[in-house]
Amino acid sequence: MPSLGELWKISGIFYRNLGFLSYAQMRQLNLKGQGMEKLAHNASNSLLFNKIFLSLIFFMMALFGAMESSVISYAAYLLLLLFMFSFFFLQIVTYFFSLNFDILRVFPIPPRDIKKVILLTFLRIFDIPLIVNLAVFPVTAAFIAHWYSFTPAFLGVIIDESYSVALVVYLSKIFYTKLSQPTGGWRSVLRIIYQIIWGATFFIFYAFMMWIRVIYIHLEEYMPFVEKYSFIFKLLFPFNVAYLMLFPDLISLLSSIVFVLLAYFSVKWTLENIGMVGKISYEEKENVPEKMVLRITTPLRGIVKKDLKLISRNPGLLILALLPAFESILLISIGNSPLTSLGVVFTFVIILIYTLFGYEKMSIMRTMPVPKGIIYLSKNIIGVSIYFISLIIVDIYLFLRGGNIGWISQGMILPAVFSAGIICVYVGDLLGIKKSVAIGALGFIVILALGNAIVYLPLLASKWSIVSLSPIITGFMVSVVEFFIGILIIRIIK
Amino acid sequence: MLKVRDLVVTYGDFTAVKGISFEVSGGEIFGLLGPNGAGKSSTLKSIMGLVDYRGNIELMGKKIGVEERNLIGYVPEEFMLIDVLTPMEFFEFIASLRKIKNQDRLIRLIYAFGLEKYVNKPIASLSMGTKQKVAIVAALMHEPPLLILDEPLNGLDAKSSRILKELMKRHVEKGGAVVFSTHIMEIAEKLCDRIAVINKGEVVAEGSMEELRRKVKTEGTLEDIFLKLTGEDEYIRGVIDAISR
Repeated sequence: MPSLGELWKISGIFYRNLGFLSYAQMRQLNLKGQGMEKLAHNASNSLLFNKIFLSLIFFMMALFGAMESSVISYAAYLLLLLFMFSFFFLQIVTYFFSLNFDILRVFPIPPRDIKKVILLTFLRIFDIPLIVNLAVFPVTAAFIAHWYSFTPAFLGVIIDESYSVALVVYLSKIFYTKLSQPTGGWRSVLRIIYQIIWGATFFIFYAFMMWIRVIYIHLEEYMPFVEKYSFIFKLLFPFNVAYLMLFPDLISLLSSIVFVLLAYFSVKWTLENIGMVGKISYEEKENVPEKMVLRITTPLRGIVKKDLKLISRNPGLLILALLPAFESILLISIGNSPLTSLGVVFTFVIILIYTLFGYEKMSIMRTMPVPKGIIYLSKNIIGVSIYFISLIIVDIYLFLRGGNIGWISQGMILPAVFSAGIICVYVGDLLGIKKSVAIGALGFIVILALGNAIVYLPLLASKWSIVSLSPIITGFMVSVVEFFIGILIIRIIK
Repeated sequence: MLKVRDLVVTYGDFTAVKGISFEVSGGEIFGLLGPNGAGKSSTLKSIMGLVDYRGNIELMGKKIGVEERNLIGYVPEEFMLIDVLTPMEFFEFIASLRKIKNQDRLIRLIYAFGLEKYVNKPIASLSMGTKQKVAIVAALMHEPPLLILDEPLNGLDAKSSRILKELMKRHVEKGGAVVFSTHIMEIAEKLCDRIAVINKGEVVAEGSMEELRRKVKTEGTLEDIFLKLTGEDEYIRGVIDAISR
């Protein structure tokens, strides 16, 4: 039977493989010039860099969370940590469950140990950030508050990690498997519902993270409320742990013990179930159509239809499509201007267009008789539609709040948005677009800067009205000129 | 129909194809034969424009641009399918891109390869063999004059394998051309009108079976010819002796 150290080593192989696969997939088009060794080296450097970056964020968060010696600050930190861990785990879950752990079954490793390898691989993804939290938060709290704050603080972080892993495994087990089931009839509807729930989970976590940040800013206002109902809060995680750190009593101690036990059972449950996630069981029932009829359409509509299916079946893409409206509403709700939301909506739309185009760069599309202009246009039809729908959602929200909707600005830049989408994809194509926008940082920054410049140019132009033209007409004219530049690119690009 | 001249494909410091030239006429099946890593797939990918290359590739006297892609049916060695779609949705997508007007041939191909049971299942859930059939149907649906098939029989069951071989024969009977790569000697021997043996990125011999036999002065099978041309017969004898000892 392998020892824990050996299992940790084995998990390291899967972890490096995960890093390599995600790195290689994101750079699929640029692999040609690189040797495998160099690629593996770059992949592990990239993983390390991401971890260090995340660790710095967690370091600051843990430090500031522990510096403010109050129940609500400690509780807010632990709550934020829980959601951040869950959020980050959810983001990597798709890649993670594509790893083939079954290969371990041919070796003399007991099934339970294989599950441990899966769990350890999962934990490795955020090992340094976890260690940073485990070290910084308890130690700082012990210095700032009391020496005995260390143990509950340490256990609080462990509980967070245990719950977040169990939560993500549970959600993946429920939703992710359902998302991959066959299509047809009510199943398609059901899958879209699951897809939306899956996307909503992301947003709820994200919204919680934003909301907890707001709590940090207004800590003092929440203090009396927590003190008034302390007898209830002492029973709930993470307040019980926070009370134990500052004002230990029997209730907070017993309640914390209960949550530690729950964490233990959640780890046990995770171990039992982590091997099941990603094992998609398709129905074997034959489904021969009575009459074989194919709905063949034009290349443009064909690509748009395919992309819509792709978005509706890929949680990552669906989230990207829903994010423009969600993020801008969130930003407006915490005090940003509606004009900022225009930029946010557009930025996410560009990410989506860019990602969809990236897929084509390495798909069968490269062998098809379709000019690039049509491909650009198809992505842009989806992008502009999502932009438009997102704006409507944001406008409804603004209307309900009684805010200034800014129809004129929105209408003025609509042709510019179309053009920006085309130009961004064109420039991305020239720069050697990658599948993912998350990694090709420099090229991506160039494209986003360019796109935002194109979108905001009509708004800027409207500030300096030319000769006798009114500001609105000036802005609109600039937008229309940009639109025709976009059309020109579509027409000439082969 | 297809002319490839002085083709060079490099991946960083590694040169996968070192100046390969060949021609394929209408009415013939041209086989690319070679060991793993010989440069067969890189050659076929160059024709499809999937890798950067130096040299000249012409189809019917023209460089292969966007329009010419409709004259080719390509089955890649690695699947280029879209996993989240069903075969039906994938065929609809490809047929739309190829502007196919008449879907009868496509439907006949679906039935010929026994795909009717799988058309509504996600491609991700299909076996390797079924995925290969989907790729083949997608390549044949528009009845192109040139078929480029990279290890097309991989994973196919006996029935589908026979159907594909028959379709290839009929395709050339009607004046079309087939370029296909394989490492299965028996198939190449039975099917190909001409064969190019590729080793380490170079064509070491090219011609019909008879011409190849004359070149290596043997009456043996294609396997014997191949091993002689690639210089691996000596190596194999050495390895077998070493294992036997």
